[in-house]
Amino acid sequence: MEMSALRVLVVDDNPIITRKLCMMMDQIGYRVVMTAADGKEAILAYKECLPDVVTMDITMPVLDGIEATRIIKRAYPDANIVMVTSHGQEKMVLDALKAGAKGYVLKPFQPQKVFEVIEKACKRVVLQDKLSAKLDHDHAPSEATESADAASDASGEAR
Amino acid sequence: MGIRLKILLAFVLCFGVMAGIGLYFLQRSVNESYGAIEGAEVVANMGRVEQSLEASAVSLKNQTKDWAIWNEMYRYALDPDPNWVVENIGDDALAPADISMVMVFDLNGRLLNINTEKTNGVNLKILTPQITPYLNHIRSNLREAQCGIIRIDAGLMLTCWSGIFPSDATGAPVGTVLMGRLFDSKRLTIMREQTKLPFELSVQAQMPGGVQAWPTPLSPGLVGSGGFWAVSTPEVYHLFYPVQDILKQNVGLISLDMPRSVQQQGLMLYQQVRRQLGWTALFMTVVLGLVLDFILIRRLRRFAKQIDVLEEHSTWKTHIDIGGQDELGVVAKNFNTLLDLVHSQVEGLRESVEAKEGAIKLIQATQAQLIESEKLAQLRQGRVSNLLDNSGQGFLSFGRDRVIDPEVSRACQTMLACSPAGHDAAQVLFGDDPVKADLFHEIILAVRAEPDTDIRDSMLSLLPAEIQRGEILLNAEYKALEDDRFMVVLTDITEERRLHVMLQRERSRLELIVAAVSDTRNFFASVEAFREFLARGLPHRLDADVAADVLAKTLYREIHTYKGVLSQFGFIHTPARLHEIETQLTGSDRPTRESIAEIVSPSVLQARFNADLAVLTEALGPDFLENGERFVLSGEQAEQLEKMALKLLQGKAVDSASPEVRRLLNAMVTLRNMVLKDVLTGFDGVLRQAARRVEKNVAPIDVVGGEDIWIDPRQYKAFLHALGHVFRNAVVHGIESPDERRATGKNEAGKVVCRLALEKNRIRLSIADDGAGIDLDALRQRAVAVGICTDDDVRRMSDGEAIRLIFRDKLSVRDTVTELSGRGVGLAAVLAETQKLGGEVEVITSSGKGTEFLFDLPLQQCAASEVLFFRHHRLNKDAGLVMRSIIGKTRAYFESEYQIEVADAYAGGGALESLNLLDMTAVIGLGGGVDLRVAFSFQESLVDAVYERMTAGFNDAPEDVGKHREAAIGEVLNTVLGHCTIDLQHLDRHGISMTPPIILGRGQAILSENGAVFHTQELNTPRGRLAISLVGSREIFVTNLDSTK
Repeated sequence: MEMSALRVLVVDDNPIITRKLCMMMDQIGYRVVMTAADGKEAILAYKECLPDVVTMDITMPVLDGIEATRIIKRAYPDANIVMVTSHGQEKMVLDALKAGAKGYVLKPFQPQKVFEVIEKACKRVVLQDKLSAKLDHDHAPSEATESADAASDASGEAR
Repeated sequence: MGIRLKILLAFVLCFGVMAGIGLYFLQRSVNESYGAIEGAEVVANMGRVEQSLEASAVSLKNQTKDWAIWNEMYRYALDPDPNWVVENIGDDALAPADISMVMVFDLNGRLLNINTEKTNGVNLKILTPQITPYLNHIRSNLREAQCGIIRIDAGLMLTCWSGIFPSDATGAPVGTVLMGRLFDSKRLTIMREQTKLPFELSVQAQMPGGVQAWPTPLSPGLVGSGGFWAVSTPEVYHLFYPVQDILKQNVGLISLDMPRSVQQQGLMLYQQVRRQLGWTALFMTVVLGLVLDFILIRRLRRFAKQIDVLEEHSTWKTHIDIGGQDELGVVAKNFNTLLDLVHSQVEGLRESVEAKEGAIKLIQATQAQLIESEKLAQLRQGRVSNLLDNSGQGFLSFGRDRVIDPEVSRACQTMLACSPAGHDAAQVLFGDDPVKADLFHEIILAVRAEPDTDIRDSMLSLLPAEIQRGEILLNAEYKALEDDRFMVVLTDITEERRLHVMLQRERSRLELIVAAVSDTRNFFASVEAFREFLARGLPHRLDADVAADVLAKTLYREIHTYKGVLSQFGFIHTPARLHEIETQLTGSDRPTRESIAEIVSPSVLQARFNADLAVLTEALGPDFLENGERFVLSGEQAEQLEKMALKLLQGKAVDSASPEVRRLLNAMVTLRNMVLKDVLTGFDGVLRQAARRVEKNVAPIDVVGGEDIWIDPRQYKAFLHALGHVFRNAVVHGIESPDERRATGKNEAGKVVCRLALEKNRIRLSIADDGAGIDLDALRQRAVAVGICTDDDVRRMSDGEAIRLIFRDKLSVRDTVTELSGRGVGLAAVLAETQKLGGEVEVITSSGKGTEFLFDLPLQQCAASEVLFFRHHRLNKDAGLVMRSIIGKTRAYFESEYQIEVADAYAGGGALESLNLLDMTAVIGLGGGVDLRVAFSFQESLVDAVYERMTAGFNDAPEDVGKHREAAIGEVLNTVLGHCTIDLQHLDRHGISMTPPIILGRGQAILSENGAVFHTQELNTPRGRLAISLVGSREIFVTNLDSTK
């Protein structure tokens, strides 16, 4: 397991999009820990797996993405949530950003754009990973494996 | 007053007090002692006096005693012998004994003898009545010899008496002997000499007043009780001793004046002492003064003098020296200490003053520095301003209050055509667009409230990047600064944009050309339609007698529609001009017919249109437009047609049920279809012409309904042509002359109203005028006159049957035949054509009110063409906008994502009962101000295509395929609409919401409920068909259909 693998929660009511996003995450090198198909599921899923980043659709049954974002952010102010949606209106984007989203990708999306937005939203976490990676690397390279495991445990706890 | 004097005075005072007290006590003691002495003297003196008297008394008593116990006396007493008396106690015996008197009494108290001395030869007179009480007293007190004083005429006499006793002195007295000594002046004088006291014995004298009893009386004696009185003056004591006789009566007074020499002495002593004290005091004072002067005053003076020195030399650094270890010395020492203290304080103050002066200098220096720095800062600011001003970009900033700061780069002025400093940012940047200003405000607030910089950036990116200011187009960049401040960087991109626009124009030209060539059928239809509009539609509108604002609205709608369509085909100048007109129409507050005509200016519009067409003729040759409609078939369609034709030629049947074939055939007929409403509206020209000819006034034709009734004009051609007769008749026969109309209280302009309705695929058309109605009697007569019917027939006919006579050939109420009417052929043709179509016609007339023709025609099934979409000029512009936006975005989406070309479309709509769906349909609701449901209905093959592309790269398990196919088309609709909402967001400031997609499968339909209306556009793609339907409430689509209800 790579240490820099960001843990992602994918939320979309469309199974194809969900599938696509999962594939994309694999390609990039992130790890999808859970998926959800509506706002309520998203909140529960977040609580359960506490991912590093969430991709959130807006139009979903039961509870829409903006409301779900708001609720998650209230409970976990550090949550990194990125909207992946077809809603292009500026009003909607503003609402999402106000609710606490860190970025916005318009469908249909390019993998590169998604990657950029996610990286930007999670730079803190990414940096942390990079830092710990570097530290471990600087330590005795022979013990790389051991310290890698140890550090990953530590950063896993820290997350 | 000098201290010396004070001290001396103090001394004197003390001394005085002391002396006073001493003297007082001295005086008292002197008084006491001398008083005592004096007292003793007084007593002594008085005693002496008394003593002398006592002594005299004693001697007399002795004498008496002697005589008392004298035997001779005894015998005499018993036997008085007068000779004895003369011998022994005769007058001569008296003098040697110093006796003044002798008396002898016998036992019985009888006087035996009395002898007295002689004064100047005169015997003393004793025997007076006065002495009787004495004698009595004497007689009773005979026990032993007693003495006492008696008072006789000559004065006081000392008397002694005794009883005469035998010589042994026992037994009872036999008689009494009495002797007396008179205190006469001679004797008193002797006594005085003896006692050496000048006392007086006065008879019967009273004591003067003011006397006081002497405290120490003498012991009682024979003379008195012992007590005596005194009154004193400072020099003399006046003493008084009351003399008592034997009867204890006061008979006389011994008075003695005693000079108080002791007293005087004492006084003198006292005075002497006093004097001595005085002199002593004086002496001591002088001495004291001198001593003080020496010991104290001089030093004090030196002290003072040394202090004077201070004043002279004005320096604190000095010391007093006066020597001595005493209090003065201590004072001097303390004073020195004080001087030192003051000196050091003064020094300290001086230092602090110096320090303060130093500080002031420092402050001044700093101030000077500050001024320097300020100048420098200003200089720098000037340089920075210079840089900014010459950068050619507009820089402005604002803070919490959104008021633009005064530091603005010069370019802002030219860019914003105003001086932005001090104004509200939203006003300056978006003054003319309240929606943008609102958004601006909201975003700024949101950014302020957001701590995360990334989110801030995202929010800022939502602000409008372009601002149009008159001719100038500006690019705006927004940055959030510290302290809730923002900066806007404006760049003039007008030129850039112009170039861009030019490029676009070029592209458009090419597009226009390409569109003209590739989509000729639709292209030419548009051209034709617009030409028609310019030639007939627009002038008609402008001529029409409607209110200016209604006209403006109507024109706006039409122009907006044409603009959309023409720009779709890449027309360049015309849409621009149309847009201008649009803007002006919406901008004018109170339009008038004239102003509208000016705005619209058909000639200008025509010129522009020609300009655009010129592009084509230039590129494609002059023949291009002339040749009119071309029909372009896609390769596939051509192939299909070929196949079909071949089949037909070969005598094989063509499967007209096959959707492909149907599609093709429909495509063939598509173009010609028209909206019935427009067709009927076209008859306005006929009305006008007729009205002009017969000099009547007719209002523009009113066509209600029919916007959603599509017909193939060719099918209805004959009917429509015949319909002209109805209109002409209405004008010529129906509507009265203006005078007649006025007389009956009608509007001068006659009105013809067409009503269209579609009921279960049958067209109901009503053409009504408000003229005089058909004169049925005249009609009947005419019919008889012409020979169509008999009298009887006409009499038997009901009104309803009678009216049908108008449809007979050769029947005309008019006598004359004119171009327009009279042949009587017109209405007959109408009936014929109607019946040919399979329809029916009915006429209703009301005398004086008007006539109505009611047609009931079947609707010939046809497919309407997309290109006529724009003729839905009574469609709510929003629905039209929505549809156009959807079509545009769908095209873009399919082409970019799936490389599937979207071409051809036909439109249909109206109050259909149900929307027939293709194989799979996705439905999404749009909320907010749009309030429509959008259904994308896919053909199976298109669903396959979409699903394939979407799931490219991952293998679906067979059980997931169905679900994923649904998900795929749902996603297509979702994405397309999501993009559309960007175009539509101005319809609702709160944003347009979207519901998640619902998927309907084969066999399902969307039924018309509660008057829902559909509008459908079918798009064709190489992979299959897609039908886009807008499902909404009736009000959104149609305005006049139910106006009769």
